[in-house]
Amino acid sequence: MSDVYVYALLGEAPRPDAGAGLCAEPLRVVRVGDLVAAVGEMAERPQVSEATLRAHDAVVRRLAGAVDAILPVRFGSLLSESGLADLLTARGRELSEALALVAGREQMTLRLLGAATPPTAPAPPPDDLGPGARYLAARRAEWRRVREAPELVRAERVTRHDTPPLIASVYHLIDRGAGAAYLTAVERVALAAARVVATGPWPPYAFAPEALG
Amino acid sequence: MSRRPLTRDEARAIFATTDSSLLEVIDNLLTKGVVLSGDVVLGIGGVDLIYARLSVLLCAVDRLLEVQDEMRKDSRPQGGHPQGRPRQ
Repeated sequence: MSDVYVYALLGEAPRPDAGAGLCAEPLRVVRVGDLVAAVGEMAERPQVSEATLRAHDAVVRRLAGAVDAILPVRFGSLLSESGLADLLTARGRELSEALALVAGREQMTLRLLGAATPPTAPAPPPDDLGPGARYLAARRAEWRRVREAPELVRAERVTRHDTPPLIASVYHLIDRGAGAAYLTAVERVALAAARVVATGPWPPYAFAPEALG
Repeated sequence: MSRRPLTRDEARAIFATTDSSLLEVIDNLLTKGVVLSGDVVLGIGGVDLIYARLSVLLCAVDRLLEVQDEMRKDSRPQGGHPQGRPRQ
């Protein structure tokens, strides 16, 4: 019996119909409580390749356009339907809260470059931070201005990298349709701070809870 | 009017047409998203590789912007000289 490959968790079933998945399999939904999982039936996990990654992303984007709230599922999630139901039941509350957060919203991604430009007017750093953390704290204080200006950012996730000059990725959750205003706001800040690349909008990948139940 | 916002747009355009859009997709799909399956597709080394490659790409875009800014400065010393005009 084939397992189900999960693309995304939704707050509701997609309105027209779900279309096809990355192997051209028909998509259907699995309902568990208030949660709806968009799945396709597959015999085995798809290989990681540019084609399969882009195909998975395309399915998620299409679903995102058809519903208000979507939590993308990590690539390669193939499991039995009963296993899926158990997981969704166990993590129902956490996932419902995450769905409420992303409803009507989408993700913007900032890549922060750390070389050359020192942070302007660095705040006195707490003593217990190392130089890297202090630097990042100062940088983050700068980016807070993005939020202060037009109040576009609804939530934020930050990942630090040890791959200079890329020092951090900042994922911002914004209201759908606010992407252009967001980019303009980033541009304004970037004039002073420079060295940032913004991309998006993306489905809210970075705002999905990760931990296994 | 300042030309800087234009260079930001160009940076985005350059970034969007390079390998970076694939790297953004990889970052989203393999390191983010709800984890439902215990099998981790990508190990720590693989994740580091993504950001190392993004870093290289961002560096390249950064360098391009610098060169572009230099060219702008050089191309209008007396003003009024349009860019890209073939030399007589």
